[in-house]
Amino acid sequence: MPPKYSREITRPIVLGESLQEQFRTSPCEIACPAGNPIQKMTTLVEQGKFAEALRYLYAKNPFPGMTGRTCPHFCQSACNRAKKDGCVRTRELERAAVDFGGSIAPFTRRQATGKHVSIIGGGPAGLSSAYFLALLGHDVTVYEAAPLLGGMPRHAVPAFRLPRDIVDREVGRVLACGVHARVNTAVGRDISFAAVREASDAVIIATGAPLEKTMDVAGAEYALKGVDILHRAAMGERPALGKRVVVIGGGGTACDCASTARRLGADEVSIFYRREEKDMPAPLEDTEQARAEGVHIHACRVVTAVHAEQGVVTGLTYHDVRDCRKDAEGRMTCAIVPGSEQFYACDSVIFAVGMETDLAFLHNAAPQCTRRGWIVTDAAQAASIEGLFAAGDVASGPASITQAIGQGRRAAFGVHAFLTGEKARVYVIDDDNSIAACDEMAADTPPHVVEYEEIYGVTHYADCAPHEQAVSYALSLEESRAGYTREQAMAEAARCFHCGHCKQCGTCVDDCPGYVLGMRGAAGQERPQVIHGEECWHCANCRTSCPCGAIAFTFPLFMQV
Amino acid sequence: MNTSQSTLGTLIETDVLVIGSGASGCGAALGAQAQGQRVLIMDKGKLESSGCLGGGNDHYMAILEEDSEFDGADDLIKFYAKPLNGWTPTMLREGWFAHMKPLLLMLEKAGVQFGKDAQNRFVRTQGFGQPGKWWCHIANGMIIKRVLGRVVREHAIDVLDHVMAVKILTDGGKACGAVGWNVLTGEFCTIRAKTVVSAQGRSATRGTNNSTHNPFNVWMYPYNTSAGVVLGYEAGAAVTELDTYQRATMLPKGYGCPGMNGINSSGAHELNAMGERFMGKYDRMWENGVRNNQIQGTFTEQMEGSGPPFYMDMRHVPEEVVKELQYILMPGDKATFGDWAECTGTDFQHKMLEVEIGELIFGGTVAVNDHFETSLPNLFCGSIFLYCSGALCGGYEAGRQAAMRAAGMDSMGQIDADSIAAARTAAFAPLNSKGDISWQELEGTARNVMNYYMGFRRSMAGMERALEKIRFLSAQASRLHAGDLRELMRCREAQDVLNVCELAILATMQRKESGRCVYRLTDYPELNPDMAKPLLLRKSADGPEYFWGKAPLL
Ligand SMILES: Cc1cc2nc3c(=O)[nH]c(=O)nc-3n(C[C@H](O)[C@H](O)[C@H](O)COP(=O)(O)OP(=O)(O)OC[C@H]3O[C@@H](n4cnc5c(N)ncnc54)[C@H](O)[C@@H]3O)c2cc1C
Ligand SMILES: Cc1cc2nc3c(=O)[nH]c(=O)nc-3n(C[C@H](O)[C@H](O)[C@H](O)COP(=O)(O)OP(=O)(O)OC[C@H]3O[C@@H](n4cnc5c(N)ncnc54)[C@H](O)[C@@H]3O)c2cc1C
Ligand code: SF4
Ligand code: SF4
Ligand code: SF4
Repeated sequence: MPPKYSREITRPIVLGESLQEQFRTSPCEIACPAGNPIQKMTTLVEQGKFAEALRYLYAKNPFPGMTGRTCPHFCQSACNRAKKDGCVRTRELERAAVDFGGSIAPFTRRQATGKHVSIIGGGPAGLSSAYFLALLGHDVTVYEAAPLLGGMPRHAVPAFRLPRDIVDREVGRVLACGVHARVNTAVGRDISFAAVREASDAVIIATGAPLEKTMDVAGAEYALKGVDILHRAAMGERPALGKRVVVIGGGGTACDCASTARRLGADEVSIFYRREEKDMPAPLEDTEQARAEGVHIHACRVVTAVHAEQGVVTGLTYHDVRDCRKDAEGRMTCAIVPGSEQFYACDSVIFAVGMETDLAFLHNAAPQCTRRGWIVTDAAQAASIEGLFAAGDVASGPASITQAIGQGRRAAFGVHAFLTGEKARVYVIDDDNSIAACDEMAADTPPHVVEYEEIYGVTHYADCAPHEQAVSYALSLEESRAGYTREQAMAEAARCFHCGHCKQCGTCVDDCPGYVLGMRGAAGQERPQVIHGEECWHCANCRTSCPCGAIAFTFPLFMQV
Repeated sequence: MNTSQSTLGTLIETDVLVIGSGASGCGAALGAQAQGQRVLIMDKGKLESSGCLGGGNDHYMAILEEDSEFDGADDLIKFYAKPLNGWTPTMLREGWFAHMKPLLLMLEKAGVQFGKDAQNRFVRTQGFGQPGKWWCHIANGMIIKRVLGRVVREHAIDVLDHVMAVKILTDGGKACGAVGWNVLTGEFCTIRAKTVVSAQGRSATRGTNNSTHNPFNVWMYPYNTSAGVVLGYEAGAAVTELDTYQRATMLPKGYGCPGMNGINSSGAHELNAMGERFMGKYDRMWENGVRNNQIQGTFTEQMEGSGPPFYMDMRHVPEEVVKELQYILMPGDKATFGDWAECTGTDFQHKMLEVEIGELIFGGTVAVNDHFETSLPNLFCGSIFLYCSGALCGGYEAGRQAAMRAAGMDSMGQIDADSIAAARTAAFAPLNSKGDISWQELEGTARNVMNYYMGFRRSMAGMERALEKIRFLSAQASRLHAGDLRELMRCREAQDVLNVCELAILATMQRKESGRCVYRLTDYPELNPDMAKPLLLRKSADGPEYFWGKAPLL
């Protein structure tokens, strides 16, 4: 009999997108590529249970300290509360879980399977795979070309956005699960791919997109490469860029370069971007921060030549453009405004115009790739060659840390199924703190995503603007965003509507005119239940009163004939 | 309100007590509050969800004096002031028409979304055989009660949720309050007031079944078991329409819901088992005529074996009409309609909708004069007119009148401790008894009796049998046992069902004619022109006294 409750999870889920008990969910959770249990987190943070929130996060994501700082927050952009008074700052809450969660005992490794898995690339994707594979009992070795693990978050993301002790600590947690790492070992240079395959029962390629693109303009060879500059800065160098710097590009890397240039002493830093400012792929906060730090953003400009005298950059030529659009092949074309040519004097030009994969190390053993060079995979991240998997930027194209984590996790379970034949649709952290298969929790259909308009009980929420963390624009090398205080985090978490997940508030029970429902369960954990379903009028007052849109309906057979 | 505790429980004092927080109760509370009186509104449910309106509402009836014809008070009066129902022109003008527009605007301001045209005029359509376009469309009908509830709470009105009234108190033949108990906590409450408004609704379900045999899977609010009639009658007020307000609707097969008006007026065709469109035989306006004719017509076809099945066919209806109907109006009228439709693959545009004749409702109300006062002084009744608009507006007027009376009173009536103690003992009796029958057994058996004898075709002999059996069942009520408060509430409702069934049978036996209501009486197959009047029943020591027409009492 109606209603039917979509429930919050009661133990950490490691894998499983469709749960029987959670047949409705929020746009934020669907949007999170890492699969973070956002609502469980907001529930626990609201109660001040930061450590438990963190434990739930770790079940899906080994790097919440990184994603809680640097994620372009797909969740927030999809948040239903944006339609009322501003999205819930779920990314900041994720960080708060780390900041105040303390140190959590690592999950227990399952019994050894005797299988060996090699992972090429020690970035977020590779390390996430390694983490879950190790917890699943496999013997894992990560091959990393660089001297340090961590991938782009280690080598490119500026420290004022992502302090390196965070990276150290989270990478350390992965290693603590028993993962072996061979750094300074580039596959293809220091060891052949064939040798790696030979030594393993399965291989995951997670080499990211390490090659920087350049531009087809005169003097391009005098321009600096953005990620290279960031990498050098990250490694403690202080590259000399001069006073006037122009960064070409519109993504997050361009903003990072511009902000870094300011920190390295450049007075006048400009970003030239060919499309309109609203089209810039960089996260809004990053452009805002750059601007607040004195960076000028010039939209609708293309560089047509870089000028240098005796190898030293003197300036560039640019044109105004309009009508930028993608052609059928996905290539951007722009119309140059006739007569708009200008010279712009500067001391350095930085290209931040995109990244590509480097699969040369595979020689002729490469699996199927897209035209643009990304490895093609299925939903379990398996590539076209048996026993070979791929995750992260190498499979999806340059994306995000979160995406890399999600794919890394899926790849781990893909490999696990391949090696052991265990193919549950849901895995949880069991009472013994290790990963356990729990196929009986799985649903056959994906959850319904609750939209704002479906939350009839939204009137229960008083207006409350989002809480903002403190941000510094002081051009310091220290972290510029302070994160929430405990109290701010708890207050912000309380703003969450819990779209599609029952928060056990009891309103539906109170509002049912037929006294059909009751709160039942252990003290302090009572949840609504249908007690007298046969006396239900199916009036949906339970649903229209619910502040979460957590209710669906089923009908007894006698109403279906 | 003033609250105090005594050995009899909680004592509350107010100026105007409104019993029932459905549409008419909300109207009454607002109407009384606007007169500056202290108002207390009580319901056994919760304000935000109680009553028919809690199930949803997709149309609001409003005459707005905007259209060139059929859009004025006189048109309302011409259509509704019928000798049979006892609604006078004054009642209709002052009690319905005068409040229609202001309350419509109030609802709109509070957040009910009405359809508007490019000139910002309310979009209205025609229905129920009415001459003009009187029905505004509502887009978010599933939350209308919540909106109205919020308005009430914002108006300094005291709200007593979850309290079931079991007796209207009188002093010297005048109403002076009520007693009730909280169905969640068992707290017993006595409310003293200068005047009382009964706003307990007109429709009482659970007297018969539809094909699903689940008395809660029905058209109207199943938690209302006609306590309005029962409490009013017990207190000595004359009750009416028990013989004529017996109603049924066509239902989507298996799903208790309203909405047939929308379906009929969309231009749907009703088809019988042979695929014939037959309603022309029974109403010159075919499916869009009088509801009783559709029920009688379908019933006749069914008796003759031309159905079941019966279908409403909307496949020919323009797409935009069907779309609005299935995806906006029907879910607005009953907020689980969409879920049910999805579950059963219902698709108005592409498939015929199987329908059935739904359960029969035995309703009625407390009879009132032009000032909405009942034959028991200081007891007013707000549940007089039909529909959301009728309930809200009529309620508003009843509240206004009750408050004006209260304003002129220096003191409230005395309450009698003995009768309160007796009411309390009676109310909790099933909880303490060693009884051996459940409310389900008693109430279910009453439905069996009514289904069998009191259907769409009746005879005097059958009604006599029904009366005997219902009285037999009433005599068993002392054997009721309730294991908890919830069951206690249902025990009381079961007794209400028995009481209203008995009154309905008695009243119907007086109306020796056929054709004024949905049933036919085999012994009296014709209309009797002398009976074009309301029949009033008033309690006396030996059963009801009957009055034809309001005049002697009101
Ligand atoms: C400047 C910059 C800023 C960014 N900022 C953000 C941000 O704020 N938020 C966000 O979500 N994303 C950001 N990104 C994107 C994000 O860093 C990547 O999407 C993410 O790191 C991809 O993870 P990955 O594991 O697939 O690849 P990577 O992080 O690139 O890791 C791949 C690893 O493989 C190693 N490797 C490559 N080839 C070999 C080989 N042959 N043998 C052995 N090892 C090899 C590399 O050394 C590297 O360590 C940023 C990217 C850049 C460049
Ligand atoms: C699902 C549905 C959809 C409808 N759609 C429309 C529509 O679109 N347009 C339209 O005009 N009309 C519609 N109607 C009809 C309209 O809603 C009703 O006519 C109107 O709401 C009746 O209000 P009321 O206050 O008279 O009665 P009710 O709504 O029955 O309210 C009576 C209240 O009194 C309370 N009560 C009764 N006895 C006691 C007691 N002893 N103690 C305490 N409380 C008591 C009940 O709990 C109830 O809350 C619809 C009805 C339903 C059921
Ligand atoms: S309100 Fe909460 S659950 Fe809903 S989308 Fe936003 S963060 Fe997610
Ligand atoms: S609120 Fe209505 S639909 Fe929900 S359980 Fe109660 S009676 Fe059923
Ligand atoms: S109203 Fe509260 S208890 Fe009921 S379903 Fe919604 S969140 Fe859960």
